[in-house]
Amino acid sequence: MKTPHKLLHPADLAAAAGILLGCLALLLFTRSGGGKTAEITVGSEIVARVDLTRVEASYTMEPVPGVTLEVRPGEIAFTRSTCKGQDCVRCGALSAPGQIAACLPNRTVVRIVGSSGEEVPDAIVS
Amino acid sequence: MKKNSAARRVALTGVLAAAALTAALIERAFCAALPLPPGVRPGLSNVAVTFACAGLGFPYAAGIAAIKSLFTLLTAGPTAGLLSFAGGALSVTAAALLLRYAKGLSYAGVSVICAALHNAGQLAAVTLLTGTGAYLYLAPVLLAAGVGFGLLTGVILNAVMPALIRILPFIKKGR
Repeated sequence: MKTPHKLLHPADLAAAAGILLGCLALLLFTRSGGGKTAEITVGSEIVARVDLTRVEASYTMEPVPGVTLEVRPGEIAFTRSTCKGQDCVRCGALSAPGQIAACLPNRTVVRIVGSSGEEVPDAIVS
Repeated sequence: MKKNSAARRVALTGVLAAAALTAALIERAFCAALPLPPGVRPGLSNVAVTFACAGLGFPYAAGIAAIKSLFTLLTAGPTAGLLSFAGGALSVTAAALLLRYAKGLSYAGVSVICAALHNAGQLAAVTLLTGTGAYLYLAPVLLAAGVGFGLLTGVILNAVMPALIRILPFIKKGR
């Protein structure tokens, strides 16, 4: 009887496990503290920080012409962009520390960070 | 016979390139409806690229990856094209080296590592392009997704390779 061709070898699983362990290490290393602050970066510059826990009513902001972010109590989302792919808009609302959404053509990144005990004003827009 | 074999390899490369582009298009269409994190894709077109690397050789696989990048550039813009090129270059090079030297790995293991490196290459390109390290926070999610989808594409290749070797006698024998 012909031996069935193996779909997975032990070395494959070892490689997968190794990479997953690396991901876990990266996650633990980059874990942020409590609180929820949305950090909005355009290029290499942080243009705004918004403490999402202090947002009481929704509002919109435009960090870059053609890109609209909607800030709501506890979350933030890309709602409009001039990019072709619209991956940033499809990301939906970000609400947990560590979540990130990016619009590469417009070089805009929104990341939720923990407040790590630091006093953060409700919003800083530069 | 040698001439026929070279012509057949070139023809097969064309077929594989078309398959890779079709897979990329289909993937782009249905991924739009799925709640995937930014930058995460199943990478089904990499089945064609990895098969080309294993069965035809690095130059043919690199050619397919380049065609894929050009296609992405034309349909999704220069940023996406650059990321596709960066990820493709790293993963095809890694595939060639792993297929040659890492004999303990099957196509699944090669696909897992290449998928992770593809995403790492794209992250590196984005970081260099934007001058910010903000995108590096996506690394755990992208690498983990690379493992999952790499296993999927690799298992597909492990399953179909014996049949492909039987019907395409001019390609290199599998692992």
